[in-house]
Amino acid sequence: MTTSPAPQAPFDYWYGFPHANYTEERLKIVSDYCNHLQEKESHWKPYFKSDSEFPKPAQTNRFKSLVRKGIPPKLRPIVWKGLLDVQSVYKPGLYQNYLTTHESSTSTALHDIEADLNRTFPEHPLFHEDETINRLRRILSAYSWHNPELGYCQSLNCIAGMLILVYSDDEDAFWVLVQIINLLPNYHGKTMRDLRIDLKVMDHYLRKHVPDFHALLSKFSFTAEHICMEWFLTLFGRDFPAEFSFRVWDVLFNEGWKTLFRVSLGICTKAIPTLRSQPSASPIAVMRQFCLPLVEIDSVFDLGFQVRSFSRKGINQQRENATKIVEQEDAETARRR
Amino acid sequence: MIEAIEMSYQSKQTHVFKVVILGESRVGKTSILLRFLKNQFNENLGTSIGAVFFAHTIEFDNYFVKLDIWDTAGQERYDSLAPIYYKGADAAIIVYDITSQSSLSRAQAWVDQLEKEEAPQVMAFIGNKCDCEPQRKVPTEVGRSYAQEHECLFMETSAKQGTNIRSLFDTIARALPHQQQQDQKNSNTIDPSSRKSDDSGCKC
Repeated sequence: MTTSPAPQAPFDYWYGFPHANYTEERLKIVSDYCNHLQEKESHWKPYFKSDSEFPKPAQTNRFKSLVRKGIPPKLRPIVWKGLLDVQSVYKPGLYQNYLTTHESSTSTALHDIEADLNRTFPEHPLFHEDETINRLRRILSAYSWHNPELGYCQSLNCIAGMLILVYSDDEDAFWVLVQIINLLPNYHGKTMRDLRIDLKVMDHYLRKHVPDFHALLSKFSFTAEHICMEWFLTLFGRDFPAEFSFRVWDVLFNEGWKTLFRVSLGICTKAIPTLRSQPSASPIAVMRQFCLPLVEIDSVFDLGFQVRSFSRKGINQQRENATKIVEQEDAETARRR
Repeated sequence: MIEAIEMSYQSKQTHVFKVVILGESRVGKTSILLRFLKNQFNENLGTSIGAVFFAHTIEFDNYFVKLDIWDTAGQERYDSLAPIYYKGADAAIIVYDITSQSSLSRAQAWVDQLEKEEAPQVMAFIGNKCDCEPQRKVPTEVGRSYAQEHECLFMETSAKQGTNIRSLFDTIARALPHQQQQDQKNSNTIDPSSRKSDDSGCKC
């Protein structure tokens, strides 16, 4: 498996997404800090084994903090593969094999994938091109054969679509997708039970750590479930600036799924003044408008990662509680049928 | 008659209702909404993940009706997440595609499920894509009689051509009870008489 060289400068920090209606100030924030990250490339050099090899480094505080500040965009393709330890699962020829073996197969997953191909990033010009659609089809179909238990879940099209923008080689994008899903709880599985559980856990932490935001939601009978579902499924891959998504992915691939909780808490904390300024508007609509141009990534991370008492043990306790609620809900639904 | 507006002002009362749109993938849930909200049609809209939220206010002579609308994801595995969106809904729009028999079964299953739980006060049973008459698999009469049996509003719509879309939301807004004072957190009394049957079939 070879990783093609990163695209030549000038690097498009918007990854082809339309951004003409962003304010000058926002455009500048992104280009300034991406240029700043590029200048920091030298900090990353010691971690590389060769130009195309990045073995996952030990989790020192120094390295964690380096990743939280952002991986220089040009280094991402190689660093992500290293952080996700793609090498440990990579089997030469397997990706191509899925495609050849199943060339004329049909399945529910393939049917669902087909329906979503033209519904993936319709605002992005590249996704109007047959070549991109074919890449998306190949990667998602191969994944559905690789993990038939999961098959295909709407939202994987967004994750795979974002990967296409970073990897010019389909096989790279495929194996990175495999490892991303391995990193997560079974959010995308056929029952989506892990997602339901974690959204309830998220609601608990939101109430505990950002009570003002939670209260603003409650006023309209909304919970974290309404706000965070798409975030957890697409990994903040849609309805945020691409660079925001990728900064989250940098940390997610290094530190794991807890990142989703922390970033969610950070965004909600940051959004409080905006929500307060529009007291009669629906918080869901306000949040969408707030996130679309959200480029103040560092301050979101600062707010999210400063939250204390966020141990894996504590989360597991919350998951146990949430599991009981989900089981009750399922029993209730079954009883009615 | 009615006019959509962005902001409500204080001289008239505003009644807030929660609406959920359910139905199989690709039947046109988001397209119906986009036609209603922006009078646009686009073959390729982004996949709805989880559910997408829209708020829209309709002005009547003496009051406003604000609809908080959840447009849900249609893929089957998302079914277990649907209660998050339909819990407490005042109205449900259940959509099938007149060119797909399976989408009709799915829509009927949604009606069954809602009836067994806290059924919304208004349910609309909608056959979309009525512009695709040559490919029709579900006769109008089948949809209509099912809707009547289950006390649902019935219409055939075309989001592509705009057929019956305004009428659908207008009828829902009128069918919802709005006699009593309401605040932002709506609390409606159940009024079974508000469920009406509407026979306006597709005119295209």
